[in-house]
Amino acid sequence: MHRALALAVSALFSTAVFATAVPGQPAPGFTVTDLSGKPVKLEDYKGKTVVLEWINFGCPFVMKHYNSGNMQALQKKYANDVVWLAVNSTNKGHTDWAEPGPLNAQLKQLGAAQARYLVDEPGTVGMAYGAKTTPHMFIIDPQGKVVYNGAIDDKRSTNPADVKTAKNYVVAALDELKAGKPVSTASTTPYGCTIKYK
Amino acid sequence: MKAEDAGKLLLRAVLGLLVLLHGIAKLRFGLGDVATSLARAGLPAALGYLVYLGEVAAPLAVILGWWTRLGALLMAANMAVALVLGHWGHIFQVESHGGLLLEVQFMFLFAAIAVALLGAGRWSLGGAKQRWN
Repeated sequence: MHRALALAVSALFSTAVFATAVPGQPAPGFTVTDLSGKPVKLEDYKGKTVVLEWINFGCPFVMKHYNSGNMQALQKKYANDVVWLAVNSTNKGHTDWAEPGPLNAQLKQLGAAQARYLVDEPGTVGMAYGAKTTPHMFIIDPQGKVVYNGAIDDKRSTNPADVKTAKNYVVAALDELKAGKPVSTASTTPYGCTIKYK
Repeated sequence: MKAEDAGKLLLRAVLGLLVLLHGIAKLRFGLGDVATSLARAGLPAALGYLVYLGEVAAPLAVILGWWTRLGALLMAANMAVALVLGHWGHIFQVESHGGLLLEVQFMFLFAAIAVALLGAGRWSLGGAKQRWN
């Protein structure tokens, strides 16, 4: 009885039950098209560090990091070291869905600098990674192993001013990777809007 | 009447638990879509924290049967706000199966009002004599 209860409670609270991209494990592979309709394969980036950023401009938590310039700054800062892939798992029927035209215009206006913008309309990639929120960040090392899964930072708000004082987990992880050190905080609970899966 | 008390307990427990799961998810992942809805309505983001009252504290009170009627009213108010701010655009949208898209939200809202009217019954922490229970 106690065991069953403990199990049920841990199922409710632990991320491990949901997440399938577990730090230390191989990253789930995928092939998906980007905003321009070109196929993108995770395998193609073997030997490089990959950042996956779950994105939706209809979400105020995402906009906090774009209106403050935070996300673009990270994309630019690590442009030489990592392949930055934004992933949008919003389904076509949702009000947050945006057509490629307006979306490209918005990316340009915000100065977004991700390498590719992946359109995961069926939500396959999101499900495979257990992506929960926008934003939700994953880092994959050059060997293809997941080394970070979680929030972008530790201030779980929509206030752009919080970006300055927050501890950014992605920065910490990427800097450790670059220095050849193991990632000390490999897993955190993401925060943001729910992903508008099908 | 035992059956009546059992029925009240069952209604409280199920309604409370189903809503509490939403509250727990918001504790884990933050306010999420509540913040989206508030921002779109032009309301202060800080109001979003009230959802923890409506989806964590109130359901716990309803499950335990402690100030149940007050808890149930808070849950009903929370659901009403959710329907207006979060779902107004498809408030009476009918799905292919013939039911409403928002059937669960309506069930939560009116079940909470029913609990507020019925009270907790004897099988509750507050018992039959507590005010608002």
